[in-house]
Amino acid sequence: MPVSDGAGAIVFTDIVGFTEFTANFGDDRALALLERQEELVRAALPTGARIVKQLGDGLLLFFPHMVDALSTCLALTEQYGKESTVELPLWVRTGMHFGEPRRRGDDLIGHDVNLAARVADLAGPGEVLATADAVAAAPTVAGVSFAELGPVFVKGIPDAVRLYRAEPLAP
Amino acid sequence: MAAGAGLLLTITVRSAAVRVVAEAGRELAVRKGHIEADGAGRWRVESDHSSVEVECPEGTSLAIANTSGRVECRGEFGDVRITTSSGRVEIDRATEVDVRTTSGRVAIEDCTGSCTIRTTSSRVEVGHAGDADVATTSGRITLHEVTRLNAQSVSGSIHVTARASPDLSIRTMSAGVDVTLAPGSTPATDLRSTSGKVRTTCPSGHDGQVDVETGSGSITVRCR
Repeated sequence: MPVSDGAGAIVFTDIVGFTEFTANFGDDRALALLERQEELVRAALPTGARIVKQLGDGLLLFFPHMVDALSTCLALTEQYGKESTVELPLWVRTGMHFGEPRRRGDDLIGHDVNLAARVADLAGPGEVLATADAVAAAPTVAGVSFAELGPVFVKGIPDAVRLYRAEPLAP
Repeated sequence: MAAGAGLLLTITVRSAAVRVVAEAGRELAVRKGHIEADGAGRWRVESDHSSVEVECPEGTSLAIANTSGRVECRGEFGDVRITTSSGRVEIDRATEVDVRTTSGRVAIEDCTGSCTIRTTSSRVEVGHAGDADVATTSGRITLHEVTRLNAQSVSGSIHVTARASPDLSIRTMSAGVDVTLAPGSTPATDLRSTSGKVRTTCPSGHDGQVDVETGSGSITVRCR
């Protein structure tokens, strides 16, 4: 078993307000929400990309290519926005980083994974945030622009991290 | 064009109170910190002190990373981007704003362009915003004079006073939403709540759009 999948894009997603939604609408609706999210993600994943694991209402994804990660996550964000209602709140926030995580069974671990998780924490619903390393790995992606947010401190990481918001270019 | 337009100050501190004052004719100056050039028009300020004070020309853009200290931006700025955990954030006037915080209170007097705010539990108050994009988990959001708004909240209530011809899209799970329209304004409205009360006394028209959707929160749309 290799100790790494090589360098790639590590992506965390999280449904904002999932706990509240579950309390208000019940477990069955919460389950339906998670299943719809997973269905959309599986349909959007390009060859080679995978869902590493599910974390309650969140997902850890790995993409061998940064360009694929960006275009897939932005397309998913658009789809979430189209489908989202208060009764199916696909309020998904996304954080991504480019690095070389270590493999543990099917799981991925390491500093790069931890950092990607913290980046997702800073995103709002419908937002895709990326580290400078992620942007450097795919500086030009058709139909995508990056807005610099500046340096940020994230929990557990000693140095400030430069972050960007990835956005679809206006048609 | 303001004197500081094109100037970007990046301020990186940990748990420090940050005060930045922008005034016409001011030179860049830093107290209790050091400053160094970081490329054309870009300057980097760092400090190990518990507080840092910066003076700069009007129109200067800021990127500030902090963890728990208060951040004050006094005067008129270009783009202001602030990320902090629990410190209070105050901004007088800026062209564009992006503030991300967990629990510190956020007060913005005037944001002429886009105003993006992401918070977990911070109470947010914006005096005027041209185009606001606000998301909170449980913080109370108040926007006094807004034309365009996209707001999402899990349980933090949202209070909006809209300008004429508003374009408002507000979604909450359990939070209440209170919108006050400008005098004579008659936007089209789409007000929906799964289990909350919906009240409006305003006539619906075509002068803008107000969409509000909540799970259990009440919706009130009133005329000024």
